[in-house]
Amino acid sequence: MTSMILEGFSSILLNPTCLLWMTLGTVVGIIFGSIPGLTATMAMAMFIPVTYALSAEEGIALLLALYIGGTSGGLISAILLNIPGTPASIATCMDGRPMAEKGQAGKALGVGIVFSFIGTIVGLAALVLISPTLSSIAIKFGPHEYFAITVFSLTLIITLSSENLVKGLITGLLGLMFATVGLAPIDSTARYTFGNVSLNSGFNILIVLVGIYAVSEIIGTAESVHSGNRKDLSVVTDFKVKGFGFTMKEFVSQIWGAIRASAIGIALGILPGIGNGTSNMLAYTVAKNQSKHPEKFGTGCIDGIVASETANNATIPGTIIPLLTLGIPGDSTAALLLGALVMKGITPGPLIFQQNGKVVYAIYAAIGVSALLMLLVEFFGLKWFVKILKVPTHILMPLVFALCIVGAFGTNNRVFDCGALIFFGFIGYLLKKGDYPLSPLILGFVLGEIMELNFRRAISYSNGNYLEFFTHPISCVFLILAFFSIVMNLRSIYKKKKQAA
Amino acid sequence: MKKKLLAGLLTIAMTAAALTGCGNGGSSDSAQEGSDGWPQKAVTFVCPWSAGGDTDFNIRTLAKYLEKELDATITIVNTTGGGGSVASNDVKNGKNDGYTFLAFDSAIALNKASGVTDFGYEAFDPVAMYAKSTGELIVVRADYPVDTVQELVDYSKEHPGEVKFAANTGGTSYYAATKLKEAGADFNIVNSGSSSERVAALLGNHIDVSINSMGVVEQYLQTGELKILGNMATEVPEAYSDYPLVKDEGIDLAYDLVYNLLAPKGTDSAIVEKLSAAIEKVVNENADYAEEIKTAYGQTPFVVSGDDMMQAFQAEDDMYMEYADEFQSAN
Repeated sequence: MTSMILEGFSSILLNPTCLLWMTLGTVVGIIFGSIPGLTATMAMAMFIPVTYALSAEEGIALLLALYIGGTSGGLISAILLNIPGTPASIATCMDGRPMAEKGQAGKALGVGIVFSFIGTIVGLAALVLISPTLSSIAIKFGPHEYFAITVFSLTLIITLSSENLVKGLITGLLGLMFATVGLAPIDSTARYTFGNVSLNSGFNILIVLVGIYAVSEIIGTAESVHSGNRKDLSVVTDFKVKGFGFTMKEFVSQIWGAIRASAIGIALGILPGIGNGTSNMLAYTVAKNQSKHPEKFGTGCIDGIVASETANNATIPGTIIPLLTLGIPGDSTAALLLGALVMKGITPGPLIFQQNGKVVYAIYAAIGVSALLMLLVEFFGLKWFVKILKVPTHILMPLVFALCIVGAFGTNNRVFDCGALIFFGFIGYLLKKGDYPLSPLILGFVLGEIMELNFRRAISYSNGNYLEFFTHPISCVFLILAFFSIVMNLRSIYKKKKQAA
Repeated sequence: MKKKLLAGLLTIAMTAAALTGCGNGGSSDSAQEGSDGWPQKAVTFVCPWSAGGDTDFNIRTLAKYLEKELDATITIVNTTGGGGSVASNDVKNGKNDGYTFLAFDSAIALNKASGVTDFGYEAFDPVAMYAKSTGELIVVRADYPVDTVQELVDYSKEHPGEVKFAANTGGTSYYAATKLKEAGADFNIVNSGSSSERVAALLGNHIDVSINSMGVVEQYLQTGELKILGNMATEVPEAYSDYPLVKDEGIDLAYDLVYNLLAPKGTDSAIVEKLSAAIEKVVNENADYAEEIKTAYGQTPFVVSGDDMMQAFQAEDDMYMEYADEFQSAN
């Protein structure tokens, strides 16, 4: 046992080649994460052939460095360009961008970087200490439970659209509708494909995300150039950032928020499929609802960035738990990790600790090292990142657009996706014009398929008996929570209206 | 400074473009007649499943050794979705210049039988069936009150509609469920997702019976949480000879999961033959390849080409098409 721990740790920590690969992985991951359209998943897929030539420990360490760097890197474009690089950093935009507009881009980045690190480390602690317990909880989640938890998560739309509930519900529904395109879950009936085979697989989440956030931003910028009211961010940004840009006092005030966000991140991480795209938004809304000053959220307060960035990084070790103990990948990124393990003859499962203990401890060490590397690379890169804002928009935006198209093609190697990207760009542009919130659309899109799939599974499991949603205890609890979430939120909206009147 | 940053961004863009595969687009040089000059550039194998699965593993492992054999670069592209139909349609309708192939499996026949596609292997020029899985197993929890497939069938008759049998429409598991129903079983057929999700559902008591390959269940046999009722393969695999074949119990249920490589219709037959011969050589003669497929999935080398292959494809097609109505009525 002890020797396995030592062997595993030393295979990462005392191996210069491995550390070199991990440094490269972190840098590439951050670059891919920060560029809209390119993702950690793509970076990992690119490096899969490299891992063939490496030992199992080195290969997995490299992929983990890419994964962690890539997830954290998303905060850079979220804050500086208001474009989330991945679904994991949608909530980061909400306060990150306003901070950048107030001239605090450096501080926002600093907060995001430090709390990404903290989230990863807390998640790692959970992975090391209680993964068998957590995986036995994960097994208890059947389709009834999954359905209930997605219903609960959808009530977040209310919080995400507090400005205008009706508009939020409209975009949420749009998201749910777009999720139904393609072959239906379970019976593979084609829906809304109009005979076009390319639509069989539906829309990729990345295409929807990059389309409505990035391409719409590009169209919007192009328009603002002509209408003459373009914003120039470079004038007001704090280009000289000291340290991470925030004070010790501010850090201490965020500790409780970070713990809460980590718990949310880990909890959603162990539920395959729900993971990253949801955890940042859930953590954000919980932080907002429990805050003493909820009105400051969305205007540029660090609490929002802390919640989002801590949660999305805590989800990574969370995702590793069902991956190692059950062999279930939570998302396409985790699937690549699984593939790399299997390729090396390592089968995840209850015996992985006995059969491949060395690799498991190497994974623990690699997550810790990657987190540290990410912190270092982003710390030293901080003053360079903010300079992106100095690039004139007429140069920056075409570049971003080109990268989006490349990324769209790269997601599934099809030109069709490039067209779909532009389609969603126009949808996003129109929604922004009408002041519709975009995040409910993504939430609806991410959860729509999981919800439908599990609803249909649950009904077939129980031979058509709807009551079973309430006889399964976990499912019942989440449905009650969903009910209260709706009632409480509506009450607070009603109160606000009354005060205003 | 601006220029440097710009140059940097451009470099990244171009590298990304090249790495994600845009670089393979340049196909202006028309394919030379015959196979002498082939391959002159990178060959693409399109895999309809995501990286990391068994089909992806098999084609990547084969490609690794084929590269040496053909002295060429082979790129594996994962185009997923639609139960494999997105990739199969793409390749079928794509260029037949001898540089793009479809790396699929028995699902090509199942897609057709279940109506996901309106074509099967016959829409392509098959290159080879190059690998075979060790068989799909019928798995239950260790404390489940049956020990053989016949007992399972009988048990489900005594408890009609109560036994939850996980099967995916358009998958081999659905074929297995249909066959067992013919043998008299009365299951509640449910969908529980991918193979590892099915194991989790089994462990969590959400379902009762699952169809899995050995890889994902092996550890649970050792921990004593799951047990195997039978193997549905046509012959006992070397690596797992302890488990009885379902067909030996007198139940008419036997199929193999076979991995295949298909060329778009009209691809130069000389190229197809050259590729097919190279595959045969790797599978039959390369010890490293054999070792690799054994370590990962317990497989032994298997390859069929030429006329035997066409017969095998037709037999597979017939076997699943016989149940096309059952598959499609589930929709």
